[in-house]
Amino acid sequence: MMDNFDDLVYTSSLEKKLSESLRPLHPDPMFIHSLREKLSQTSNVMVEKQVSHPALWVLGAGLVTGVLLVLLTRRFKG
Amino acid sequence: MESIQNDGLSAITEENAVKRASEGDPEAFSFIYERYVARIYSYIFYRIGSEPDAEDITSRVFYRAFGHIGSYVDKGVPFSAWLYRIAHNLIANWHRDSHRRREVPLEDQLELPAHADHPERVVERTQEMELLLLGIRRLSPDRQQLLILKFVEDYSNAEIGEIMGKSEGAIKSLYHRALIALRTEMTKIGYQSENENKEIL
Repeated sequence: MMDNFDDLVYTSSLEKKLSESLRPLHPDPMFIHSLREKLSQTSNVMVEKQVSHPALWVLGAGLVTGVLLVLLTRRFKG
Repeated sequence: MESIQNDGLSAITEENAVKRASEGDPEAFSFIYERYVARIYSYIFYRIGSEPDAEDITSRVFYRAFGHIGSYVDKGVPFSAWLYRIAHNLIANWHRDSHRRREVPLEDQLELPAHADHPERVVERTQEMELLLLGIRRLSPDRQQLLILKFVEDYSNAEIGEIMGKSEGAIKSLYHRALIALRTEMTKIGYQSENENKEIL
């Protein structure tokens, strides 16, 4: 019984120690700034890539449609 | 929910920032970055104890988040859960990476960042504090995560449950086991509580 009480006291003291000792840390402002810049540069590259995707899809779809039309035309003529 | 003004026109909330970022809006991602960069850094630092590596992993978290946010699916859990999950996985990789694992003196392992803006930091760097951090880092990853989210980020059990994908009851149980395990680890590395010290005296 006493052991359980000791456990409880120890656990409470550990919780108190944890809440006193652990607190949010702040990264170096230079690091935050530098990473923000790098991410923003990456975002510009990605935006450019995204713009080219729909164009590629339209081009691909056009090609496939064209090939199908040619094949169908040949089959009907034959 | 907190919000900021976007060009003085419309308010951005976390929810719509995530939606807009997933649609390729860099400004929305910037909002997410500002909101979480310190928390993610803090979490990573407490898990690994090295400032340069914490910065490196934090960068990787945000690069990965940025690269994959287009495929992010809102499952009704906080967006932070997704970021913490990425951080958690990268920390696991860091631990597995044998090239980066090296013998580091205890005092170096436990050094807090020199620029952490806590004036009382010098006072905190007692042996007791060092042992406490060492004890935490000896726990299993989920127990470490729970203690950091609870004591560093001050999240409630319910919020931690959402982040870790567990019920509130499971978090309470995990918390209890984490404290017992921490006590065991602290004893192994020579920590004595104030009560034990009194008994000895």
